[in-house]
Amino acid sequence: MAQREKVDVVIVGAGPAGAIYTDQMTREGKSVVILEFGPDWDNNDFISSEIWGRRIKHAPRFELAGKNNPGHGFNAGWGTGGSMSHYYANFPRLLQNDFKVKSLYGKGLDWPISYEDIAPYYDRVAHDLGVSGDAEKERRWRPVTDAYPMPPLKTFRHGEIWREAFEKHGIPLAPMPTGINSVEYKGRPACLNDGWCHVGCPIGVHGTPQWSYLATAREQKAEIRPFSYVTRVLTDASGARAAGVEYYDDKKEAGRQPSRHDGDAVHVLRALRQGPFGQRVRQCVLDYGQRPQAKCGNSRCAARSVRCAAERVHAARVTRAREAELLRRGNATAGKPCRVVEPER
Amino acid sequence: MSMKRRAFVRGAAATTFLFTVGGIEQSLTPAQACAQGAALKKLTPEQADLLGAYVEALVPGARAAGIAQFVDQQCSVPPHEALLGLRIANGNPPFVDFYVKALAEIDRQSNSRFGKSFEEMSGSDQRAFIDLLRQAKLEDWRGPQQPQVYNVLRDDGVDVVYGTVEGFALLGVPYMPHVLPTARW
Ligand SMILES: Cc1cc2nc3c(=O)[nH]c(=O)nc-3n(C[C@H](O)[C@H](O)[C@H](O)COP(=O)(O)OP(=O)(O)OC[C@H]3O[C@@H](n4cnc5c(N)ncnc54)[C@H](O)[C@@H]3O)c2cc1C
Ligand code: SF4
Repeated sequence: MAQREKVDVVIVGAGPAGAIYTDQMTREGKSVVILEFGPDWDNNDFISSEIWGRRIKHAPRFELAGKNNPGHGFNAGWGTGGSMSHYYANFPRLLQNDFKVKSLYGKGLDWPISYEDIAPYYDRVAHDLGVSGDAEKERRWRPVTDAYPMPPLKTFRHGEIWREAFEKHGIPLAPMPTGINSVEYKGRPACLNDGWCHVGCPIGVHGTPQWSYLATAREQKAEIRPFSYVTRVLTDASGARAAGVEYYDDKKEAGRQPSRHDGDAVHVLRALRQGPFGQRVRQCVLDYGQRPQAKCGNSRCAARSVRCAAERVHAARVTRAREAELLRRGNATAGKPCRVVEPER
Repeated sequence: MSMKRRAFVRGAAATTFLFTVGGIEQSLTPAQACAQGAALKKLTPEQADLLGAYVEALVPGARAAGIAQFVDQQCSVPPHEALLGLRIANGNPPFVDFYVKALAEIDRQSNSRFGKSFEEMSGSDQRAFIDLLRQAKLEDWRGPQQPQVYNVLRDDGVDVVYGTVEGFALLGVPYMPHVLPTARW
């Protein structure tokens, strides 16, 4: 099994979670390798076609076998940008009461953080990725700490029909904050409203990791290794700290990518963060033996209960230390190794 | 990544799919492959006929547009290159398994319910059959889940008939691509 040169940090998956960590780590001067299951997309790969767009959907080169295999479905993308390469770019925020559902309504669990903790990161990501919206109109639901960097997207006739109907019933509406440029932003053009976002926008209007975090991470010399499928997180002798990963490379050969210890188990947490959409990442991370007691979507770790890209990116900014703390506190049991099989053709 | 607002590549060389006709590999559209009787790679002639008949009943024009040749060819390429709608319908490779199982069950159910093959059924019986399948009301169904079979085969039909630049023109919808599809069909 080939042993690669040690790096500071290994990131599993180049979706938004992986991209934002890579960006952060490279800015801190760390050497970073991203192992990504799918291709490293170029803008010309985002072909304007429903049919050709399926290439940016997951198609396994390897399969994990075993019980409770989450599989990949409609909700997964692959390749650089992950599922966010073709997300719908809706950028809603959690509201203040969402963080206190247990105390307020006796349901679910309270988050260990509040809206106020997370608000600066919402604002920061809106500027990093580029979000169009009208923050003032959202004031009735949440405190406004910063305006969106761009005005809302144009509303079309069907949107107007909804607006008129809601207004008639006295129900207030605000434009959906959207990770799409309504005007030129950071050298990226304004939207043409031609509706190919779901198969990938090749001109950089869509606020995805390709145009933001991955672009800066590349500038900072992060290495992206496409067609690399991680099957196991390796630990040091204590078993408590991540020391790298095992993976299959683009030639389907097994290899090891060691990483330096980076305090706590944050390497692993980076991958764990991938939650419901990066389920494969999660599954092989479970093999690491730091399995959270709660299953996907029923998580005790507040940060992991985040589901959508917008939340994920924000949470990635705010909760790194908290995640480490939560994992250290013992949300962990031993995991069983997973098997990797290549599908028959 | 360079940024252009729109990449019109009208008249660009088209990469069609590889089909084998008369022992010679050729770049053809599925419709041409169908018309020229291209050799099947994964499906049997019987399976291809049934697929053509079933999808034609749902999306008129699908048979001549080469639905069977398209599915057959796409099942033969590496899974990560396949353009099949099955990819977004939670299908896992080998994709041909899904089609083989679905077609076998359509055939079995047609014969047991209507006493004849799907191809031999009248148009109204075919529609009644598909309507039951759509609602998962075919009892003792032994294939992949009925709604999934309905959706995937319907989407395949829509793909070959309307999913192309020419198909958009049939619908009177302007195509307006950023990056034009390189397949002519
Ligand atoms: C069609 C669609 C529309 C969406 N619309 C919205 C929306 O409007 N607003 C919103 O907020 N969210 C939306 N989402 C959700 C959002 O895209 C995801 O929540 C987000 O991308 C998850 O980020 P992630 O980094 O955790 O995982 P992903 O984006 O799934 O990235 C995971 C990456 O890891 C790679 N990977 C997986 N397993 C391995 C392995 N073993 N080894 C190496 N690499 C691996 C995958 O190939 C993938 O690139 C949408 C998603 C989809 C599919
Ligand atoms: S220009 Fe706008 S509508 Fe067209 S694909 Fe890009 S984000 Fe979507």
